[in-house]
Amino acid sequence: MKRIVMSLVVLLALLSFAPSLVQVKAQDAMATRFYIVPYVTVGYQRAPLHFGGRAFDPDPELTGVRWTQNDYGLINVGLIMATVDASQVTYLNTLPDILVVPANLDNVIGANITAVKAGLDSFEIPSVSITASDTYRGALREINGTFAFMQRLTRITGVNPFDLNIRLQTTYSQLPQLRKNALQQTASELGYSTAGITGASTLQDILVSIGNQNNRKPFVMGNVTI
Amino acid sequence: MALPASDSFTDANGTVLTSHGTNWSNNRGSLVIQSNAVKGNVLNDDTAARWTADTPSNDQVAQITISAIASSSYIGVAVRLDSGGASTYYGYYASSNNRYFFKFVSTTYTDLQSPAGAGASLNDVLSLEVSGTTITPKRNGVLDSAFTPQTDSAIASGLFGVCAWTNTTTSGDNFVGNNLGGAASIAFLRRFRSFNGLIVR
Repeated sequence: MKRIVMSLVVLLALLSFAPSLVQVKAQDAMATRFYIVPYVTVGYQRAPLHFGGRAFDPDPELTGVRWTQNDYGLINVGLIMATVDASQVTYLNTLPDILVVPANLDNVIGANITAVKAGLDSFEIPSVSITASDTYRGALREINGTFAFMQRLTRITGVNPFDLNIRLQTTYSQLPQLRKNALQQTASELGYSTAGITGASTLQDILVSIGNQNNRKPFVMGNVTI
Repeated sequence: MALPASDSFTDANGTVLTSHGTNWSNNRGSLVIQSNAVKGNVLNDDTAARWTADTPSNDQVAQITISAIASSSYIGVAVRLDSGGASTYYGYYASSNNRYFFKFVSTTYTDLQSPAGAGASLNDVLSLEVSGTTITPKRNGVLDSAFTPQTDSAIASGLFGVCAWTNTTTSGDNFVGNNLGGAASIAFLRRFRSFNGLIVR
């Protein structure tokens, strides 16, 4: 009799936990993932390709996905942090025009370094400071420093520098004086030194210098510290 | 004028906001007074105006109460509006079927986060706070559940104000702007609004 009562107690205890176990499993099905995504402009509004926004609807597979963004200033690229389920992760992995950041940000880039650099280069995001021994978290921190700088810079200039044919390989001496002033102002406002900049410094050199000074500080997206 | 800034938009229907006293200037399009509240004045376009009677700190808050609401017609608040009148600001607005949290930089609109996918209600109080590089949209005094605080480095300074999309039904009333940290003053002003629209300080 005592054994039966004990069994019932255990059974009841298990049943009382069941809903929360189910709930935990459902929550686990959603994952926070990072993607580097081109932006598409419709009229004066822009939104990340596939994820959509005010400017256009998301891909049907991504309807209802919650995301937050960190853009490359007025350059039409951004880092997207999305909450996605397994089927959406699979769908996003098939897209050829976005960069998928592995789920574990603390993995070392290792043998993927060539692909990582090629991907960043395709969006004209400086990749020279990112090495095989870096983790993806370190790479994202590097990219965040660059993005934050470009957010302020393009707010000051009011234009996407690539629209003016200013590329990463453009040297400081080739920049119009207004752009030079904007670079100096941005660095000053964000607390970076421009002491090392010479006429031969490329825009990429300058962004790398900023990244070095930023020292890959952690940053926040949504409620996640990266 | 002294902060907090406030406006209950008491004026004749059809008065454009920039003719309602001397405290407002446009950043994008124009807004207009209707039924002693403010709404957009341009069909199917974004509009925004800044409060120019005060110079708040860079860390600031703007707040408005929804006084009429309909689908796909938006009213809300903006912070760090460009003091020179450019279409540059952080914004947060709502209709009865959606809410958006966004930035304008030199006429380019960017969603800071995915749209809420659900609207606001009559008498909801929308506020937008900015502190350093963190922008926080609040609805009825708490973080809007559709969003999280957003980090962005684009806009460092500016003025607070109002923003809207399209010129149909949705309107807002009881605007308050303040330095961040003056939220208690905002609550105080809301409680003591009189019938004729004047704010009792």
